[in-house]
Amino acid sequence: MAEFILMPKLGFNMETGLITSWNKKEGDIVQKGDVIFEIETDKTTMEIESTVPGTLRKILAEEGETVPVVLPIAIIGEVNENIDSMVKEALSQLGKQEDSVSESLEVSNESGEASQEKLDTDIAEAPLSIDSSIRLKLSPRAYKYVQENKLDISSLEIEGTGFEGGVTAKDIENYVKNNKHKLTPLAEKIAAKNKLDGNSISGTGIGGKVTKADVERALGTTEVKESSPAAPVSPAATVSSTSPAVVANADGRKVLKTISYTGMRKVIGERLSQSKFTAPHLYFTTSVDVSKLMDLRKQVNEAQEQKISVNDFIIGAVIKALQKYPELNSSLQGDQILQYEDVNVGVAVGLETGLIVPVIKQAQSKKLSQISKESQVLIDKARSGKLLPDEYQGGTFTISNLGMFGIENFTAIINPPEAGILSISAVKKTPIVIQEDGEDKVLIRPLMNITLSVDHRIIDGLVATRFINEVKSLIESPFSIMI
Amino acid sequence: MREITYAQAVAEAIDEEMARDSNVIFLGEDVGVIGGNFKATVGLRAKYGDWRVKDSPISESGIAGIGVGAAITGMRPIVEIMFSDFISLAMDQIANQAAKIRYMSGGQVKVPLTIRTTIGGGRSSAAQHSQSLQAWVAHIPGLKVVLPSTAAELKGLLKTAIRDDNPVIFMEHKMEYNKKYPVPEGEYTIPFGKANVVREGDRLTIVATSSMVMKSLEAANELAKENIFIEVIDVRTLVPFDKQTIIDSVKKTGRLLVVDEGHLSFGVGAEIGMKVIEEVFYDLDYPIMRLGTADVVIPFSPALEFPIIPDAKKIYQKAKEMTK
Repeated sequence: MAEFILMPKLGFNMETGLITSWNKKEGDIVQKGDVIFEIETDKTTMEIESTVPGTLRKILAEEGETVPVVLPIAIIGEVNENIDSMVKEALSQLGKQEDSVSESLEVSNESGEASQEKLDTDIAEAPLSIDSSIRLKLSPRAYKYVQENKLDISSLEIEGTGFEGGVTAKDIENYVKNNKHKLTPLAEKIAAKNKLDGNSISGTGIGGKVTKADVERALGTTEVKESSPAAPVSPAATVSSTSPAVVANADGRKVLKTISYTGMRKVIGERLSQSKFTAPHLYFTTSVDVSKLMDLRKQVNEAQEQKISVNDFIIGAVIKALQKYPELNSSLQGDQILQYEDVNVGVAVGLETGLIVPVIKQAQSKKLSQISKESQVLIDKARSGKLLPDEYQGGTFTISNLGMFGIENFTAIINPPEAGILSISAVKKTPIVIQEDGEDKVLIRPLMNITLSVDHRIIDGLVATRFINEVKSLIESPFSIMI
Repeated sequence: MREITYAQAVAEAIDEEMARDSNVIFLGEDVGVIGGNFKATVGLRAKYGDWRVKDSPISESGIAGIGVGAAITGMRPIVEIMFSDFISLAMDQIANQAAKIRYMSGGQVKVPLTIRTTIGGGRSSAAQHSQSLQAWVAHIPGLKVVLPSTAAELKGLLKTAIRDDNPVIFMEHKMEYNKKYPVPEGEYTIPFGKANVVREGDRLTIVATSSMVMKSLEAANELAKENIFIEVIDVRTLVPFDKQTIIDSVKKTGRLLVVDEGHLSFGVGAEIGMKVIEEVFYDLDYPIMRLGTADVVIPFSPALEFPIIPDAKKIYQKAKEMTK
């Protein structure tokens, strides 16, 4: 069973680690306790040992990368295990594009054809699985050959001369040899253009093929701009027919897809960066027993048409709490702290393209059913991209609810220029210990974690804890929300 | 190099060892006065006399039993079981006594016994005189099993067998006795546990025993004319077995064919294949194959006997198939 190696959280405050070196490479056998990589935290450099024995199958983060703690940075498992799903999962956790870490496909840039050499040698990251080798009827020796040379032959038409028509190592060798062209088409073009004899250039591609890079080297030039279509594929190194030709970045990392950092993404990025880097965030978590809330909600919804959601109740609780602790309903503007009169509650909505926060204005003077209605309208508008600026600006406090995704704990970033944001996590049936009549008893209760992030420049621990405890007690005695 | 027959090589080996060590005695059916059924021991009785070269009654179990007894009392006997088919009659003495006495006595007693016997068909000796039963004896821990190929090999291996302090089953091929082979003059021995690469190649490894080595070489010569080069290995000793030579060869060629004259099923071919498979699995381009005598009672009729025993042509065809 393959396991993830995680960026270790070595200290309470450690949020990220910088990988300074990998002491093992992909394919190395690792014993439990072997030092596999080194990280630098803000305090020190540490050698990190493997927690499991096995083969280092995949490195998910390179040297020089900074990775948040507890995220996966490598996979250790058995040599022949299929780890595709693990890799996928890890990459998504790391926020990386698929295959950006692997040495396979690359994105085409303006210069046109992919470096044939790179294509040839950088092939499917996962070694050929046992299933493929059986399907392809590879002899064990052929299988070994494929592994050692990191070939992707799964879509090649190699004729087998082995036992019962199976493919032998020799068959693969011969195929590779016979299908090499002396020059790649682009190399040929460039050579011809510059009146250079392609045959005189030594090739560094597979089987001695002369690549564009080889021609360029021979010409003594660097970038030759050619707007040719996607390169024909070397048979020994197959690229899926749907993907474009690819090139390497200057730093050697192969890019699958380039998306412009503009528009909503950029705005969100800039605002959140600004928030996180200017406001020292302070976090408080408490768990809330929502059993009474659930009951009340049930009753309320049975009694009226407008269905009120759990989130609406939470908004209601927050509004009341903000009225009691107006420090949380403020904003630092320059050298003034403005405490606002109105409670304009923002409800974070996640979209495919990013994040937007529609605001329920003057929520303090609205009944719960009104809040429920309005929030529904705003959320729908947000999802269909129809929010007006007035509807997403002017918030004084934000609530972000990821409970419906099963998230048990998260710490949201404050929506500037607000003073705080409340993160709502999923309700989970949890065993708790209470004291009744002097005896400890274990009960099962539906608990929900809520985390308050505050700007420590204007909010201190004391008022923050009071606020969050107020929210908690309101939710736990939910009738008080409705009065 | 001078050429002598396979039979003469036997006599020479025994002669030299009997001269070297006066404890060496020799016993078997018709081995003395007439010099052996296959004329392999001519002249020995005349030279060493009745006390050291004895004609025995027709009692294989008695022959083997006397061998064991003589061995544990300090002699170095050679006994002959004329046909390996009759080893069955001596099996208790061989498998339960000779093989086990040293161990069971806690090492107090050793059994430096050499049992010579013959294997192979091809001359209409029929069912009870044509079997090659090396698999039977190789299966018993405590016995060494030797299968010489050429006369030169035989002489060196037989001398080693006689000098060995353990029971050795020395299996000569009855069809070889009259053939002439180059045999070096002078004193030489061939150690046990070291297989011999008799021909180098890169497309296929053939591991063979006894006269199958020569047949494999014939096939290899034919294939060489077609530019297919076969590596041929003479196992020499089944016990002790040289695994490494075969593994090294298969790593090079990727294909292995084992040829032995015993019956195919549950025999030498199967065992040799399994001995090496773990170490050569990822080097194989083809499954390990074997050739052996068909799993039938060996017929008398030449027309029926001929097709069931591996020969150079069958080896050629199999090798061709495996190296397509």
